[in-house]
Amino acid sequence: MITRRALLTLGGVSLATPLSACSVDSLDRWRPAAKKPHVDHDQVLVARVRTALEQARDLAAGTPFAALHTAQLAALDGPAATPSVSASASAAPAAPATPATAQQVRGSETALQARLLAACQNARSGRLAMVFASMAAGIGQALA
Amino acid sequence: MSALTAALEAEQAAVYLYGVLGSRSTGAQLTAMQQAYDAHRDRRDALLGFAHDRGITPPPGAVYPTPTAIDTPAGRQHAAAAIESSCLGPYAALVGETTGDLRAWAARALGECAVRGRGFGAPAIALPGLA
Repeated sequence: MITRRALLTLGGVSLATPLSACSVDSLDRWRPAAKKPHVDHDQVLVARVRTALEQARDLAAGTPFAALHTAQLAALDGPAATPSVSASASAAPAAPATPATAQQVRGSETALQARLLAACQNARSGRLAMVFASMAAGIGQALA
Repeated sequence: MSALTAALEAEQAAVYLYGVLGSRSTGAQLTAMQQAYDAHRDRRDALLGFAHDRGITPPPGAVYPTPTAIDTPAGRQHAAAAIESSCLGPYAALVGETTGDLRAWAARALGECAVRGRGFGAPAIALPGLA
């Protein structure tokens, strides 16, 4: 299990600055491999994916995508923390989104799917690549 | 590479079973079955090429058990969803066992099977192939 605290410690990020408060772009420009060689490549990927999932979940609040990402975030903490997906989806409130908001959410989800596939390609751990690919497939299902 | 062999076995079964389902379908459902058949045939052929390139002997083809309760459109939809679900695990494993282009190819295949299965009525899940 890769905890957020472990990531923050390894990454040298101040605990006063939660990852969820960082923008994805700022994380993209983060270059821990050059500045902090002790930070594991895959842990950085996990941190980036976690942030992207959190942002997508927040943007999609009130839609089934939010429940989807809640389950996917739990998967990053280990199988034991993964809630029942169908139960999560059924617990999500009906989406009252306007067409413009719905379009924004779909755009966000499509971008997230691409990010996950890129993370899958870059992961050094096969197991982590599987998780990222599976998350992307789950988003594809939800978009279908 | 066991994952490649497992994915090939899953695709061989899918091609066979979609042939059975297509032969019993009509109209829009026939079109959907044909599209799924074509997609799985293409994936199977690509996997055969990957196996050949790596010196892996492909698994022999087999006669697969015909799904039960496929005399109705709903039954065939259900069977098609099950076919797609059966491909998820092997493709997820192939992602995990490979790198580079083959990993990207397997990830796309995983996504396609998940989406196609959803189209046939499979439930949406957060982690297809890993659940």
